[in-house]
Parts: sequence; structure tokens; C-alpha cells
Amino acid sequence: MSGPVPDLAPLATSETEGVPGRRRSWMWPGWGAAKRVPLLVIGLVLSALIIIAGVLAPWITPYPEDAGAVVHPTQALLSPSAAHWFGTDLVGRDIFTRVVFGARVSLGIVVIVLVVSAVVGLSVGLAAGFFGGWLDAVLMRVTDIFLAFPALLLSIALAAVLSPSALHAALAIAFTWWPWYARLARGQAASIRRQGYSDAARILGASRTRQLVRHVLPNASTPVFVQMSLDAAGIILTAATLSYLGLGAQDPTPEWGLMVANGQPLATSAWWVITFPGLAILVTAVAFNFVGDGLQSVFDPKRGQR
Amino acid sequence: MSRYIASRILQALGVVLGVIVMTFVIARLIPGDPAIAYAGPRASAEELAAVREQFGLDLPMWQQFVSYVTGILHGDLGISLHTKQPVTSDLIQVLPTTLVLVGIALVFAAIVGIPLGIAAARWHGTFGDVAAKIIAILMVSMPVFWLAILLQIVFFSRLGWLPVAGQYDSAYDSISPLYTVIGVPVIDSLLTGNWPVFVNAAAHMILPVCAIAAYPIGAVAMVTRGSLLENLGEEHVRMVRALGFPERAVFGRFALRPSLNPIVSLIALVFAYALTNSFIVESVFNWPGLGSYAVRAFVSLDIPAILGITLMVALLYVLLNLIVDLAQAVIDPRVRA
Amino acid sequence: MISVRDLRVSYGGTVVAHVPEFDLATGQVLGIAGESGSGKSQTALALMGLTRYSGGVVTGSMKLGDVDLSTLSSKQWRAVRGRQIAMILQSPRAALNPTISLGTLFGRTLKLHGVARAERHARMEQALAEVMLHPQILSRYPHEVSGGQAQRFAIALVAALRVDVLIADEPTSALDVTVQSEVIDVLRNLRESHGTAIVFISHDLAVISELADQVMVMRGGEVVEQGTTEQILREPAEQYTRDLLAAVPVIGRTR
Repeated sequence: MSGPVPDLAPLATSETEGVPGRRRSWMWPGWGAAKRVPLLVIGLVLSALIIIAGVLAPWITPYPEDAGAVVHPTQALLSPSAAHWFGTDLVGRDIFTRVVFGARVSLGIVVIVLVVSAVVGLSVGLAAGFFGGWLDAVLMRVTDIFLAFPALLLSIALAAVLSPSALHAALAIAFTWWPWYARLARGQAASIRRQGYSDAARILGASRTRQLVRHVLPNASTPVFVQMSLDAAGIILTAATLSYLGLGAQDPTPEWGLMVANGQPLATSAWWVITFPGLAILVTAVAFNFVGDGLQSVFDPKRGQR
Repeated sequence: MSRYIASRILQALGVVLGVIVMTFVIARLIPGDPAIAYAGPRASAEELAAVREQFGLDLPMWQQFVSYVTGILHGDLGISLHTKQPVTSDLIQVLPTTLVLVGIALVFAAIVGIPLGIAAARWHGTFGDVAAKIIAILMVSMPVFWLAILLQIVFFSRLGWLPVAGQYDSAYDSISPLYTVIGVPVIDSLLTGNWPVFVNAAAHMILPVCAIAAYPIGAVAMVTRGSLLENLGEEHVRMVRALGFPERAVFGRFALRPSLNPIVSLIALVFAYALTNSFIVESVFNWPGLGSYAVRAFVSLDIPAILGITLMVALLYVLLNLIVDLAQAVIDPRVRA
Repeated sequence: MISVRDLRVSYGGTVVAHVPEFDLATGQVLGIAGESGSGKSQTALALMGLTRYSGGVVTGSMKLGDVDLSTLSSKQWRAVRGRQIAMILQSPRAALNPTISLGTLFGRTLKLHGVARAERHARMEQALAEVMLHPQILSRYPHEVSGGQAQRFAIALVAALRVDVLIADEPTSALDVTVQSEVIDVLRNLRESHGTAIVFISHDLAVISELADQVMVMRGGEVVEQGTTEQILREPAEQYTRDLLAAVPVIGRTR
């Protein structure tokens, strides 16, 4: 089973040649490895399509103005047709347009959550793992307390007490997400420190900050990157759940979870109002999970599929 | 062993203290005046002052924290703004039915997920493995609120096979009255031998259980598969192969049992996730448990109830993690080392 | 008993072990020495027909009596493993399933190889006596026994199966020096009382010399030196071999 990805790297070998023999860089196992993980390729293609659709939404959707607070009373609840592929909602807006625009909102939330929690988590974790001692002890106890809460519950509780908006939902999710990165980064930093990757640098008299930035950070970032792609799916689901509960994005924002919530009372008579936004969540989460799972098996074969 | 238990309990207590601090901090982060939230926006200055005094909101922060902790130690989580009842008694009332729902969903998830994971590992690298993996990923990628609504539409609205809301039909109250034992109809009817209600209550559970079980099924299947594949690389598996055991025995008798430990530790994690998902599923299915109570609290900004729920779920989670740790130490002495 | 010609073990086209030839008669011991990664353990796996489970391919011929093992199917191999040829491994406790008792494993193995229920108990006791273990050990779990006991138990298992050839892959490397000599004694005893041919694999040529009649030295997947034990010990042709001879036994190594 090989994916439709062209063999770009000249050194990469095909599946039948040189599996354990040829040593490739640990950082990038090459296209040959990617080919052995067809789900990764499918996931990458799907994710790329979703991202492109989101970015190009104003130009590729038939009724871009429907992403906002417009009302077409005569067009309400039309079933799917050539003019409206996914039908229309209660106020007559084109659901296809809103689903495509929804990718922007969801991906935006994913980016905010990942950036905030990776920056906070990496700083805390690297500081704890690299400097050790009392700083390590204090930071990790704080992390433990965060991890003692079920993440989804803590995000919901936090989003509930903040005023509801997409940005607040993203911050509420990030608030519960960073401890995982802290733990991961700490483990990496500590093990790299023990392995003496930066011993040479230390002997050469590099400052500690410089060691951290030049040697520890790049080595810790690969597992963090794998973790981020696995997390993207969870963030999509959490964000959709928050807005379904009315704790995230508010009307008229074209957010998938919110669209399902608004369509719920009509769902028995107009199935399309909830089906397509829900499918959008499912497909996006599946795509990111494929990527995350595939990357894990490429970078960390012991834990992923072999 | 007893030293291990003591250290784990001590750690758990530390985390509990941290959890209490955190809920307190979240409560203080809330913009707006809690007195206004309680007394209503039209309350006079005197009324507000009275409310502040009643709840100690006029005291310095550290005193508020002390009284918060003392209250928790006495089982006092404050008064719900919505029900005007003590949060503790509200929680005691709604918790059993949710725990039964989540418990059944988790058992169901184990029954489906573990064999799915075993099958995937057994036929590792074949089409069946890929198919099982795709199913598992679909399960963990499913937005639970959407799944709940779809199940309702398909099995109730379209097919009319299964009931859609509540725990049982109240019509049975006159035909076959239900006696309360623990306050959960499906259990009460079973305990009192009330078959008509039991059958009806069980039918009411099917859809919510399926919706809650989706994520756990996927997670359990993936962990089972991974753990089994890892064990298949171990020396003891090589040994039984070298002794001439056929592959079926290598899997069923030798590789599976030591693979179960990661699945046990997954339980705590999945429990927390399923409990939170039950909030959404309960409100979709109009199920009168913790979930419906929680969603009402979250949406109406019922701060004491939100904090009480958060605190209680976190405590349940810590407790379950502790039990899992101890259980693993009993099952596998290597854990203690 | 066993004769090997031009054996090659490869993974994805890369040959990781190449053994031109050796012959081993009943009751004889062949020692294979080499550092880790020298291909000696891959040779052991190939002789057990286990290479395919880690995704590798074996070519060449290895004859056990008149049967060419390299042509057997998975199913045919199962009739050979545990009946004619068996294996003990480096980390004796890791090689025993942590969740079942030693007695259960022993009983199931004898049952698998058609030993009648009535006869099983006597077989177990006799085999345990040969390795100087008390029958009480059968109620224990792997973590409750020492490494030396676990390794002697594994040898008892092999003795009870009455196999013709035993592959011992670093059987003493994870053990203390005193325990090492116990295990060597038990292996010597096995050879003398049952005429079992043994392929003894170790990174420590000194340990090998206690038992082996002939020695093969491997490095980087190739055989660099081969001969009788006396030859190799007296006039090692390679500096590499001299290094292996000088190697201090590594205590508590797990892999």
C-alpha cells in the first residue's frame, strides 16, 4: 500500500530496500517511511484541503455574504440542491458557505490554542527540565494540579465564567492544554541534559540560555510537534463542544458546533441543518488524527504502529 | 507495599488541595459581582450588602479562602443560584443516575473496544488492522453532541425503535409503580423485580450509552492494539514461540494478559472524558442526572454549582486515579518498583 | 545432527548475519562469540525459525538430520520447535511471562508437546531435579525467582522436552559470576545426560571456552574466525578475538 506522494527525497529508499540498514536522520525519516503509513498521507491531503478551503473561503463559496448576519426569509430551510449543496438554514443562509467559513473559525481556534499552550508549556517544561532543582519541583507540582482536572471539564468551567466568544473559548482550552506540553518538554529537556548533548557546548563556554535555545529546544521540538498534530483533533472537538453549549462563538459566527446547536430543534424535519456542520467537525478531527497517528508511527515507531 | 500506598495517598491529598485552590482562584477570576448575580440586577444597595455579609464577600481574601476550605471540609459547597438548594444535596441527588449511565457505557466500551484492539493486533498490517484502526479513529473523532442528535433522529424519529428522552415512561407509574432504592430507575426496577419498568428503562439507556461509549471504544481499541503489539515484541513472547506454541495461543494465553495494565490505567482517563461527555449526552436526551444539572449551571452562570461540580468531578478523578494505581500495584508487583 | 551451509539473515535486503558453514554432532557444543550487533543473535533466531516474526528473511540451508529447516512453513516449524530444537534467552526473567506461574507454563508446554497428563508431573520433577531446583518453584511467578533460578527453570523446561538441539542465546550474560557457573554446570550436565547438542552464544569468549568444543567468532555479521576451542584460545588470529577473550563479564546487563 503506497500513497500518492511522489518520491521527492533522492536518498529515500523504497519499502523493499534497506529498512534497518541505511541510517537516516532521526528528525526526518523520509518519504519512504511516509509511504508505509497510508493513513498519514490521506490525513495530510485532507488537512491541506480543509486549510486551503478555509483560507480561500471568500473566493470559493457561492454566497460569501451568508457567513455573516444576513437573512433571506424566502430561502429558509431549503433542502440540498444544485443552488445550495448543503441546503439552507432557518434564516435562509447557504449552509455550504457557512461550513466552509467555519473552517476558518475552527482552524483559528486550533492555532491560538496550540501556539499559546506550546509556548507556555515549552517555557515551563524546558525551564523545569533544564535547570532542575526547586524550580523543577514547583513547576511540576503546579502542572500536576492542572492535570488533576479532566481537561474538557476545566475548559467548560472556565469558558462558562468568561463571557462567551470564540477567543475566550480558545483561551479556556489553552489554559487546560499547556500542562501536557510542559510535561513532555520537561522529560525531553531532562533526558537531553543527561545524554550530554550540550556538554560540548558547555565546555566551549556557551551561556545556559544559548545552550537552551540552540541545543535543547530543537531536540525537544520533534515530539512536541507530533503531540501538536495529535492534539489538533482534540481541540477541534473541544471547541465545537463549547460552542454547542453556547459557551464559545456566538451568532452569526459560522462555527460548526454552534450551527449544530442552532439546527437541533429543526433536525427532525430538516436533517441537513445539523448533518453537514457535524460532518465537517468529524472529517476535520479524523484528518488531524490520521496525521497525528501517522507522524507518531514515523517518528516514534515503538509507540505507534510498526 | 504499604509505603507505596501511603506515598500515593499523600500525593493524592496534595493534588486535592491544589484542586481546591484552583477552584477558588477561578471563582475570583469571574468578572462581575457575585452578590449581584445572587440578588439579581435590581437589588438595592442594602440588599446587596446583606448578601455580601451573608456569604462573607466583604471579608479579606484569605479569610474567604479559609471559610471556603472549612465549608468544603464540612461538605458545604454553597447554595445554587438556580435551584436555591445547597449544591451538596443537589449533587447527591443527581450523581447516582449519571454514574450508572457512565459505568454501563464504560463496560460496554470495554466489551467492544478490547476485542477490536486484539483483532487489529492479531492481523497487524493487514486490511483488517487498517479497518479497525479507521473505526477507532472515527470513534475518537466523533463530536458527541452531534452523535447523540443523530442517534435520536435515526432510532427515534425515523425508525421509531427506541425511546428518545428521560429514564423511563412515566405512564408505567400507574400500571407498575416504581419503588425508589437508590434513585436510578433502571437499578431500582431491577432490585425490586419490576420487569415492565426495567425493560422500559433499559431501552431508554441504549442510545445515551452508545453516544457516551463511542470515544471510550475508540480509545480502548487503540490502546489495546498498541499495548499488545508492544508485548508481542517482548522476550517472553519469543520464548513461547520458541517452545512451539501456535500463534493463537501466543496471543490469547501469553501476550494478552500482560497487555491489560495500560488498559486499566486508561480507565481513569476515559472515565473523566466519558463523565464530561455525559453532560452533553444527558442534556440532549433530557436525562435528569449530573450532566443536565451541570449544563444548566454552566449556561446560567450558576457559580457555586459550577465550582461544586468541578470540584466533585476532579475529586472523583483523583480518587479513581488512586484506585487504578493501587489496583495495578496489586495486579502487577513490577509497578511498585 | 545439525549442519549449516551459507546461511544469510537479511532485513529489507541488508544482510545482518552470514554463516558460511558449521556442523554440530550430538552432544557437542558450538560457541558463537561476538560483540553486540555482530549477528550472533540473528543467527540464533534463524536456527529457531523465528526470523520471520521480526520481519526478516533467511536463505541458505540448515539441516537438522535429514530435514532442511530453511524450507519449512510456519506450521511445519511448530512441529520442530519445542520437540527437536529449543532456545533459552538472555534475560531469563523477561523471557518468562510475568502473569503466569512457572508451573502453569511448564504444564502447558508439556501438554502442547503431547505429554500425557499422568506423566507430566514426574517429568517436571525429574527435570527440576536435574537443574537442582525445588518443585516448590512451580507455584512461583517470574518476579518471585532470581535470574539464576529462572534460567535453570528454562533449562529444565528444555530438558523435559528432550530436544536434540538447544540454542542458548547469552544465557549467562545477565547473571552474577557465581550464578553463571551454576548455569554452565547445568548445561554441561544436560549435554552429558541427554546428549543435547548446544549452540552457546556469548560476547564473553572465556565463558564459551568452559563448555564449547568448537568456536565461531563473529563481527559485523560475518564469521571472522572459526575452529576448535583449543585452537582459538591458544592462537587467536585476530586482535578482535583477543579482545573478546579479555572481556570482563558484564554484570546486570539487561539487553
